[in-house]
Amino acid sequence: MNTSQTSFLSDVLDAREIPRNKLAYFRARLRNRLYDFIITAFVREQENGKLSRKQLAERIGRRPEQITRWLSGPSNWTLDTISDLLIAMGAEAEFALAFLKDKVSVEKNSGASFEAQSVGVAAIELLSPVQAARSTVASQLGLQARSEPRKPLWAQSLAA
Amino acid sequence: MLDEVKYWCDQGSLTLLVPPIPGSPLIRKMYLSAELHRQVLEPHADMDEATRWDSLRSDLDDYVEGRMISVARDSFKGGKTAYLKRLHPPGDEVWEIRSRHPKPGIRIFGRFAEKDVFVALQWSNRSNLKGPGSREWRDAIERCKTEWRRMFYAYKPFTGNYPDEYFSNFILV
Repeated sequence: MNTSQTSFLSDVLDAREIPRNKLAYFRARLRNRLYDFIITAFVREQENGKLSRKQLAERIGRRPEQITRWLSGPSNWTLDTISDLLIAMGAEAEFALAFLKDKVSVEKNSGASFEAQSVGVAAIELLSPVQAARSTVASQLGLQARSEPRKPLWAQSLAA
Repeated sequence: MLDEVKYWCDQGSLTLLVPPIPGSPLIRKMYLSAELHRQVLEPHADMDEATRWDSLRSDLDDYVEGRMISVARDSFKGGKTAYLKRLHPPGDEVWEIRSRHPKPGIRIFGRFAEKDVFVALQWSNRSNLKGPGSREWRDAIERCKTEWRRMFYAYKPFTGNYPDEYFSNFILV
């Protein structure tokens, strides 16, 4: 880790009150990562001929111009936008946290990139029953797809 | 070309942008001019400015980390809100990175040295550039070209089939 990284992160990890500029950095980072996460999935669906922009717009009752604006960047996205885009693809998000302190200590101790060990910020779970599609998306995200769709809670209780 | 870039890095006139989060993937490369280094990487006395520039830094890190970027279909139409656009005339090979949020919007001007290697040379507040085709826009493009010539006089900017040969992982808008 270089000195610039150390100083940037110490402002965040060691501060009693995180400076406003660092809050802004991480807000933009989260927005950009969500954009990457969702638009990457959409581009893949588009390339596989499963969903066009027009179909995406139709599925959630939006004008194509609105979809183009959303595809252009995340600056005017809301949580509802994210939900709409995901469900238009028949998908939902799954989440995992990665603590910055862990990233720092992994890098310090091993010199290895944390990215390789990270579980990722979010994983996408396709609602489609086609397991092959799940595996493809999961492998392209560097994750492992569950072999079977998750059982609903009522089924888990019955199994227990 | 990359030898020239390295030379200017050694001279302190260019800086390779490295995201501040350890373990961030470094998929594409972005080099910042000395002026952009000051704005993006050095502390600002004014907290509003620091906040705006740290938001922009996050947008630039996004490029470096190889994340999905939106690209304008061409220099003339569309892509009003795209992340990256090649400016008119296309033969000048001057590109604009747009950081739109929060206001005021900031524009970064630069050229590609090769695929996925962007040299960011100049910047401007969007509001100072006025409408498309204005004298201010032309001046911004000329400043970028002048700075490129000062550093890389013997080398032309990268040119290729638009847009596939300029960068990876993008969506046309």
